[in-house]
Amino acid sequence: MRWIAAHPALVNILLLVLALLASVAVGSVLIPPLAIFDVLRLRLGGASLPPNLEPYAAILFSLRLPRTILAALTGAALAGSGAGYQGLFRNPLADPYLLGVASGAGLGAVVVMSLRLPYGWFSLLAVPLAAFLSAAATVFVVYLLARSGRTLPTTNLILAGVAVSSFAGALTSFLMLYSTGELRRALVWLLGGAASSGWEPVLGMLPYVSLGLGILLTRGHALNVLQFGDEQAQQLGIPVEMVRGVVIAAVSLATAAAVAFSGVIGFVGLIVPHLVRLVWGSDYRRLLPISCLLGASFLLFADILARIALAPQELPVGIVTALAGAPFFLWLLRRTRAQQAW
Amino acid sequence: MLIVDSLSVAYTPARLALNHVSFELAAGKVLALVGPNGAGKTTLIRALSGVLPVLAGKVWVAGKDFLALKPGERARLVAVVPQARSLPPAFTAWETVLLGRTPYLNWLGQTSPKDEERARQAMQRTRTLELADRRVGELSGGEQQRLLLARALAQEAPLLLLDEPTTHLDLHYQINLLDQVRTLARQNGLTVVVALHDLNLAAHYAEQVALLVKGELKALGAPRDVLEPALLSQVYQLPLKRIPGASSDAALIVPAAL
Amino acid sequence: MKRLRIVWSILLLAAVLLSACAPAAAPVAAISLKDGLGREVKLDKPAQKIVSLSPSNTEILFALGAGAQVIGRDDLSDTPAEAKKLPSVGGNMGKYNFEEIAKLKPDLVLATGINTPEQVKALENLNVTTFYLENPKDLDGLFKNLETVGALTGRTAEAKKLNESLAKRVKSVQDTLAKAASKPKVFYELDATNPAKPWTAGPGSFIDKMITLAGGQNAAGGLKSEWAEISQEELIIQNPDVILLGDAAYGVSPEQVASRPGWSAIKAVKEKRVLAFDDNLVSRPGPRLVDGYEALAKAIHPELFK
Repeated sequence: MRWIAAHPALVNILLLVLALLASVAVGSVLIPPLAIFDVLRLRLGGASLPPNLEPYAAILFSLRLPRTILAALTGAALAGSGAGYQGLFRNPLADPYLLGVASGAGLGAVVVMSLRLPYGWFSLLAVPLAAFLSAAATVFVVYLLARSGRTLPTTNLILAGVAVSSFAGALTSFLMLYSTGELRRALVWLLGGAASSGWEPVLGMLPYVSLGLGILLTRGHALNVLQFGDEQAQQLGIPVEMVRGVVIAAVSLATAAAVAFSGVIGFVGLIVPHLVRLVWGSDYRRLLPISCLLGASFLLFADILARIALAPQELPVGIVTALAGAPFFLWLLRRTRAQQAW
Repeated sequence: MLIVDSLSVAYTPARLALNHVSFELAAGKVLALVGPNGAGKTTLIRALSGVLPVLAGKVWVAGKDFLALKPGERARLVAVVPQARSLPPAFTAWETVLLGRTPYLNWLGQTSPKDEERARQAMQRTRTLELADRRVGELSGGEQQRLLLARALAQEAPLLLLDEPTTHLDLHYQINLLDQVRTLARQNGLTVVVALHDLNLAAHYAEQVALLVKGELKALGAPRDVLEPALLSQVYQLPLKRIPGASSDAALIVPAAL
Repeated sequence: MKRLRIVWSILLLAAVLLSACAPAAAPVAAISLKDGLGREVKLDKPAQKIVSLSPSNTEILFALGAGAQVIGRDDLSDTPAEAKKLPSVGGNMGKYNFEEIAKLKPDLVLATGINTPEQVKALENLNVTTFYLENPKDLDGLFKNLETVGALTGRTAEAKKLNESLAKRVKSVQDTLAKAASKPKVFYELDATNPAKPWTAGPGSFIDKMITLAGGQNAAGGLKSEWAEISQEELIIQNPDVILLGDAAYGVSPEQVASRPGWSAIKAVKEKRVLAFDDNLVSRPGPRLVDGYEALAKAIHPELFK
């Protein structure tokens, strides 16, 4: 335990490597390790595959690898964003969806679905694109509503976030009921995201998540100072309003991309930062990157469980994150409550 | 060196919280802000630290138009010791003091050995170095207050503002802290503005006293001139008297009933 | 001798004809059809290893005698009983297990209205030939779907035969209904977890059309969308003659309906014309829709079907 606490980066990188390997190796279809090796060797060597390996190749390259990367990116985006928002709002209950990203994305997706575009690359692309844009736009509306003069009080932000989320959520439900026919598609999307396969979602998500998390990771020190309150932070030389704007923009970018391609997955953004805090302390310069790493591993393991728990059925991964995450988190919280992580 | 020129602040348009306040303070001097509750002591400290929007007036610190500067530049000129309450408990004392180096850090917030050296010196001077690895949540009010002083010193600003720093301290720590502040002013040439409730502490530790009443500067000058029983009785609406102190030039202001 | 010569020439002719046919028959008629998403789907030969993604598709395949060509089905496919022995590829809560589908190496995946375009795209990514069978809008649509699946599975003759027999049954019900003297008002209950505003099928929905076709009128015909909650007040005003419990499978019974506060004011409750109804017969767009049609007609016009 002491060794783990002393080496946050090493521990979490090892854990992530393990999670990535496990996610490629484990699934409802058992692929023998040797077959994985053969497929990779032949594919990378440019050779054609014998017919008995073909389904394995399809499963590996069109399903498992992209799914693995997507889950890792999503977990990193959500956990990093959660840590950022908890720091920004000085509130342990803040999660990446606090300012309406999730409901905004849902609304955008359902609006495009209700247009009933003819099947094709455009209609398939339009859904995540609209979800992303609408998520970003929703946060921007929240931001505008919360501004009072030249300041941006956090209470205003949270209240505006709740109000705008509810409004977007209600609008989504209304559209689902009254633009009939695509109801099921909307439900499937809201339950588990685009649920597509292949590399397009990974490529679509990568730039926004990298940019958002990249910006967020540079604000660790500012978030540290913000823990002492807006006024002290300002007196220590932090441009508080600007930091707030930058963090919100960065988190929204990363989370909107995650939601657009992976759907709304609860709990990761809430508990992973707390886990990191309990084990490795609250210095945001460490907390942010370690949360990203652990978030990726956490969602990968949750996704593996979702694949194998009721195989060949698949569970929505959000159920797993909550079912597996909550008890573990509570156990850790009880054990380390004396440490005053907050 | 601090020049406050006709500074006005309003929380609501109807009432001025500070009404054209002007004064000057030389380097190495301590100014005590006194006055009843709501007189504007804390408002003046906050306005001087740049966290309040100012209605009118100018503030010059070390020859610079302070209110026109960016937050980072301001923090290199003015350091604030706030009241110690609800500090984030998870930080260690060392991390807390190191945050005083914020205005000197690069855009990633990385500290250099020089920053660590300055933080260590500040802790040495405030006798908090032995607390370095303790978490802030475990420290007493007095220890926290000294830690905040250390953080402000690490900021290396020529003007030091203290907002009623003795409020939560017992007698020992009150004297201890103000002794340190006066020493810093004299030895390091810091300009110090300290808001105080205790008129006698103000009289003892400050070269100058500013009496604020309802946002206006009622009197400014040497302690003996400002802390005058007739004026104070009127301001605090309580009969006060002066009694002789320990030494010939010291005197204490106490309620007349005592 | 003369007869021998005739036999000989017939054999010869047959040989010539066969040899003429042989080159054309070698690749077997390739199948190319446009599916419900407007995609052009091509098969070299009738599909022999089919995965069905919905209960209705499974029922269609088995009804056409193509059950032996089905190698996988979704979780909800429960009819006929043989189908349940096939490996499942998920489908609960809209989540399919694409790894399982890839492993089965199907030559055709038969998707349908409950599947999303994203899922069809996922199958395309796996290089699995996928046909999206659009939900029928009426019984003619059903016949067309049966024909389509017949063509995909090499069961054209069976599809034709099945369609003829189904059309005959529909015709017979329609002939009987022609004698109907009234158009009873029907309330079709989908879910009444909150009996103050039960879910029902609104105008334009398949159930709405079936009720009309079965000689009734939908009490929820004035609603604004295909799936909607109707207020109990509106229901009492509409005062339906018949209430059909599509949620009977979830334990709702006519006795329970009668005991709901305020429902005793409704004519159907007073006259005890609240009937359990097998929702699968009208909600699964497969051949059993005709069973559903017959059952609806009997429930709405019992006087004509004695």
